Amino acid sequence: MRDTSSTPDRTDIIRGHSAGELDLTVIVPAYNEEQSIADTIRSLQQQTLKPREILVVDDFSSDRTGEIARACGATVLRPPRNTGSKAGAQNFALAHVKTDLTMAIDADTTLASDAIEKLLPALQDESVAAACGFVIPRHVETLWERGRYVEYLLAFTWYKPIQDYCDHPLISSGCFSMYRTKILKENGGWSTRTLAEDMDLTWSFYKRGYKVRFVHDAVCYPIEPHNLFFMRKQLKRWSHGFVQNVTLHWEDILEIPYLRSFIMVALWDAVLASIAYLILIPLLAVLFSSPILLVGYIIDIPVLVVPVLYTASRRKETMGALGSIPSFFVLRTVNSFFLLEALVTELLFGRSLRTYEKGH
Amino acid sequence: MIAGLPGTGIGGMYYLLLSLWMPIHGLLHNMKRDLPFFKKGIIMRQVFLTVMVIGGMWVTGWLLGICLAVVIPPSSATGTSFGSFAIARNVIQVTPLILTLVTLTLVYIGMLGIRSIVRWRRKNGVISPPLPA
Repeated sequence: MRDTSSTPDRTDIIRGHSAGELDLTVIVPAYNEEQSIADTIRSLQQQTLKPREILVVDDFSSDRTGEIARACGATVLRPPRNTGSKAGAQNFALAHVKTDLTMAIDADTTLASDAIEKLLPALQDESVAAACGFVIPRHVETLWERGRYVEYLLAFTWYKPIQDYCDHPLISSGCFSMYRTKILKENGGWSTRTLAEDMDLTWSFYKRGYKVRFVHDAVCYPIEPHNLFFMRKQLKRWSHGFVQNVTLHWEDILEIPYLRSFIMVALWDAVLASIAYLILIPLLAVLFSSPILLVGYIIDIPVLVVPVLYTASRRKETMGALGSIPSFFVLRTVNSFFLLEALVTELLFGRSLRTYEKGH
Repeated sequence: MIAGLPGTGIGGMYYLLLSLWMPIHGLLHNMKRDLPFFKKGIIMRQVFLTVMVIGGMWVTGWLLGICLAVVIPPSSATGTSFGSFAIARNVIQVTPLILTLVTLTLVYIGMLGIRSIVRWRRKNGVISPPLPA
């Protein structure tokens, strides 16, 4: 395998009109994002390696999203009617992409100034279809944002690099990923058949024999749900999306080494943990009249705290991360409810959730 | 574990085993000079984290021991809560690891069993073959 991380010869993937301009189109699906779209576009324009074009899909917004995006210098596309999902909006723009590389970024996400430059070497390998980066919430203030902050630090510090080492990151995050346009178009773009189009796309790439890479140093900053109202929508969408993808792909995934194990342990843990948090632990505490058993909710704290503090200390956010850890336990207990709900609804009752509700 | 899904049980153990395997795998491939550069960086970071996580697991066992000592009444053999605490602490450090490993192994074997059934069904034309790689 080629060395893809040492100083790369980028001449074959940088074919811009001017120095530092990439053969890259960025797609930004946006629905009523007037509060955040300008920051997103500015962060793209301030990259050390700039994309050739920024396509904002104003998905029939009722606010000034399109107007602001146009004023910031992006090309704005507006479908004749709302496409109904993020995948739909991205596909609408994909038809207009003529560059070798395509990047998808959420309209509420900004990038570190070198994010694209850091992500790019991963795509030097011709067999890599997609590359994604490290995700850190932009605002870490409310309980829900803090919980998500710890969750991301844990997942992207501990789990995802191991998946990357095994050449099978579980998901190329939809909020910030770069793709080879040809392979993306061969796949038919982003499928709307599940609520987690990024997971569906990643697993579809693996089924076709392509690789996906996770790049630890390419950082993006999405705005995460700040209250339970929005968090509920996001967790419901993610949980149903995960179950839908497992249902859709399971027979083919069994033939893909590592990926099958990652999904297997994730599914097993998610089911067991949900039952433990929502039923077993409180039941045992009541049966034995022993509140000390509630420590089961946080018993894995020494394990999760290591990767969290490792990255937090490198970012000089140690105290903030420590203070956010209790929020993580609240978030994952709430998360358990939505996962069980998704499993019961999708698998037992056979009712697949199809309505895409924007989480933020 | 995926962001958005709860749980760090057998998954935690599986990733820990992978982390312990990574330096060995890396060493073998480094000798053959076919280890990508980016993977060397992952190995170094993960080995450090793994050592720290194992320390964290020891702490978890220790905490569980304390909890059990509080919940379970003192045994008649020792007659003191201190004796019960000591026994619980020693036992609990090993038990969760063994239980997790056994569960992980059983789940893995179960998955391979399902794969065999799917292969058999494909071979007999019951379901369509997978997409070509």
